[in-house]
Amino acid sequence: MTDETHISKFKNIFKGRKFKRNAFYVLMMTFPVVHFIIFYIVVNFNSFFLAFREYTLSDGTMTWQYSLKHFQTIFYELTHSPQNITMGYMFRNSFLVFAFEILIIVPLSIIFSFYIYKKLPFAKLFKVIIFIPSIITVLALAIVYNATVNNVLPSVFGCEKFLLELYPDRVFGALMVFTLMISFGVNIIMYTSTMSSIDQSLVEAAKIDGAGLGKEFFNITLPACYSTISVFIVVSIAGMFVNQLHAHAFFGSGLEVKLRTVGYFLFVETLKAGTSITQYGYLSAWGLLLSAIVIPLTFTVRWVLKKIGPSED
Amino acid sequence: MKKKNGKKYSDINVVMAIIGVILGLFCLLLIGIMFFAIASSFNDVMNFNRNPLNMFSTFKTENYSNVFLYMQIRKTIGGRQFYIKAPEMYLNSVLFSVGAAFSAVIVMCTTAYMCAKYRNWFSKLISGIVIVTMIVPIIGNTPSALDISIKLGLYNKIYGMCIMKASFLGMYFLIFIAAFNGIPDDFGEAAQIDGASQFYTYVLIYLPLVRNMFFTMIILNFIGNWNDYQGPMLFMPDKPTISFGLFYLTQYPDNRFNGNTPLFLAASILVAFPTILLFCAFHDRLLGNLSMGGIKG
Repeated sequence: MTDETHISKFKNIFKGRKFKRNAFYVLMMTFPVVHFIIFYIVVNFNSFFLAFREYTLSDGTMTWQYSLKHFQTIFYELTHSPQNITMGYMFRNSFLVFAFEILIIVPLSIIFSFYIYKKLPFAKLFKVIIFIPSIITVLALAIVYNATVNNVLPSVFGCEKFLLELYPDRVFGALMVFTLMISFGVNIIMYTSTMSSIDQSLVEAAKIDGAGLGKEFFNITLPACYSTISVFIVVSIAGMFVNQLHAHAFFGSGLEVKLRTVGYFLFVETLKAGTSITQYGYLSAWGLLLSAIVIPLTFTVRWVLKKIGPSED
Repeated sequence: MKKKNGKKYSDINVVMAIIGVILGLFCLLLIGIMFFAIASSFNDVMNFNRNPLNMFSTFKTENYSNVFLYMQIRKTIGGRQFYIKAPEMYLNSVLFSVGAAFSAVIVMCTTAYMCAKYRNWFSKLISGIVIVTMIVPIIGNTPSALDISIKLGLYNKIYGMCIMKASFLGMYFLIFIAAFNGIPDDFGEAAQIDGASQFYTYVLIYLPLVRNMFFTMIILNFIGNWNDYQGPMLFMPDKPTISFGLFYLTQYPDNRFNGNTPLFLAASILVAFPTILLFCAFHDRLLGNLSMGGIKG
């Protein structure tokens, strides 16, 4: 075989359809894959290693060594007074917010969604209005909420101003009401979309058998929404230690210690750390410990919900 | 009770009527609060403090011009102190929101297309990764992300934030992949027989078929980015967005703003205006397509 035939064969490989297809695939997938490696894998591994690194600044040079210092600090804070009282408040508040989401927001969202799904009077209008808070920045909503509870309510009902910054005992309840008011939008869209996929022949058959709206809700709609409700519960567990109850939008970093959630604490500490790498280890250690609690919990709850859920039939 | 087409709401019962009333009252409350915010944003501070419900005795458009003129963030960089004003914050918001929305949606859409139309073990792996990362909650990796962004020179840069947001992970990937899987492969094969390249097949044949979804995702991402103040606060503190500016204003108000609720309300409306405008223009599209995922910033 001559050199020319070799070259033309080599050229044909690059001209082939399969080669072009594979080259295009590699080209298009390179950025997403590199991005995933850097901003997911490297970030999470780095977070793991940061948790075990202790940085010291000596003679203007930053040095580090592996140690368990951050974990020791956290365990000290969890077991010794007065820090353990603060930590106790943080965990209690995070659980309270989680319970509030599951016991109040989910049931109300489902009931409202059922009303909208059944296309009862003004259903479409209600859906649009309830969704509006979801597209406005939480800061603007917090300002409007504050202005309302401090000015409109006292004027209308003759009560005193709420002044959340002066009365800490009112803050948690006020933040929960605020969260309730702004969280229906996305939830209702989620549940109505699931309800819309219910086979209407089932509903018609139930109607022929004399079932009213109540029976339809409990026997058809609720079981059909089970998977969406399960997803919501799992997501709420996963987000239990990230949820800030929008407290930062109201109080910045100055929220009373008793009212802080774990999510708020982590965010404020990260903000305080800024670009100072010496603080990252402590926060990463917190992250690692909380992930160690939440990951198995999420998987267990997911498994339990799958086990106890209604059958697909 | 009758529907527009004459069909009766025959199955409505007392419980549903009560729920309807509660929903109606809740919506009235929301509308009332929004109306109060808009009307009071034009009110005079003295008048507002005297009687907040007396919203129509003054109409001060200066509140808005004052916000635009005096809403600012003080920064000290390299020992030099300077102010970042509202127009610059708006520009930062537009650049960040548009840039991050396009980078994220383009990457997500392209990766979903590749996984749907180039079926191989790697595509399956990528789809699996998306699901796994959605299920496994990892907490507290923000300091690490900050560390990496500083090391890569992306910290404090708008384009850096856009690059960091350009990930294919998330619920929207699954929506895109379902859409591409629903389009027959014949479309692309026919185009390629006619001489279209792989790239043209994607851009000119498949992308127009998912353009509505693509556009909706851009809007949703834009709204999410516009409303987000914590991300820019952490990753680009010297390039504040308008939401970050509003946060700064509430925490460190100067003499003009201190105790001046109408000015704060005007600032809130100025910040929320673009997203409200988008919602008014595209609410059918947003409410129709937002079956999964949230957009709260």
